[in-house]
Amino acid sequence: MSEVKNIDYQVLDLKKENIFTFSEGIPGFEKVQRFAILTNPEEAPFGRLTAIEHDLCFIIINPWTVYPEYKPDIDQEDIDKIESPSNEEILILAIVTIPEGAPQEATMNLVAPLIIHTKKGLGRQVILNNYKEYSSKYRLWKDLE
Amino acid sequence: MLVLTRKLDESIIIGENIEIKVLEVRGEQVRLGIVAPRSISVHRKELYDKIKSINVESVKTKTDKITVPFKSKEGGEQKPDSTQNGEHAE
Repeated sequence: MSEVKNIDYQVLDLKKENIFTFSEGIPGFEKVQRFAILTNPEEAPFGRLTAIEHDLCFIIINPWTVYPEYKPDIDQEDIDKIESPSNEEILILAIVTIPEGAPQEATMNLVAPLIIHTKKGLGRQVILNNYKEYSSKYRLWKDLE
Repeated sequence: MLVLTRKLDESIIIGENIEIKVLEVRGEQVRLGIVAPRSISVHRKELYDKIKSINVESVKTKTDKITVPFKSKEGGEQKPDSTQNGEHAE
């Protein structure tokens, strides 16, 4: 597989070899700063934000696939910190929490999404200005039970 | 911990360029104004700690398998109205 196919990440030429630098890491993992986004059709709609130098990854999802009404209000300073991507250049993803042994109870964090400048390869996790409107543990599959 | 007493409209300065000012005191709530360089991230601590602990809870190793529930039904995705392109075309 030479190219990772778009799984509705609303994006672009997302290639396997793209590496994203999170200069402040991700809270809790400040030293882990370089990641790639990997997707595997068997894991759709999930992807993985996989650390380059460490054996860890975060499961990610395009939040709009599950929650189309999501309207994240991201602070301009946070956008500036990844060098101000345009709407076409920004990728917004939510980190997924999958409880051990209970995948049907998976949640995503809508309070603190990841923002990525796809062209510059920069990313950070941000806390939304309108964080009070959203859950940090939004159930992904609750409607299907 | 250094403890300082401040009144309304008074501030403290940390280093040369971080200023924290008391803007309003109302009952149990204190409103603070913070001036800091862009490189300094400022967060409500309990919120930041929560995000941190969710991240720790979420992390997987590269070889951890992940299960997508309900996969067998309708291509495995919970479909809202947006067009989904979940399948990979070889």
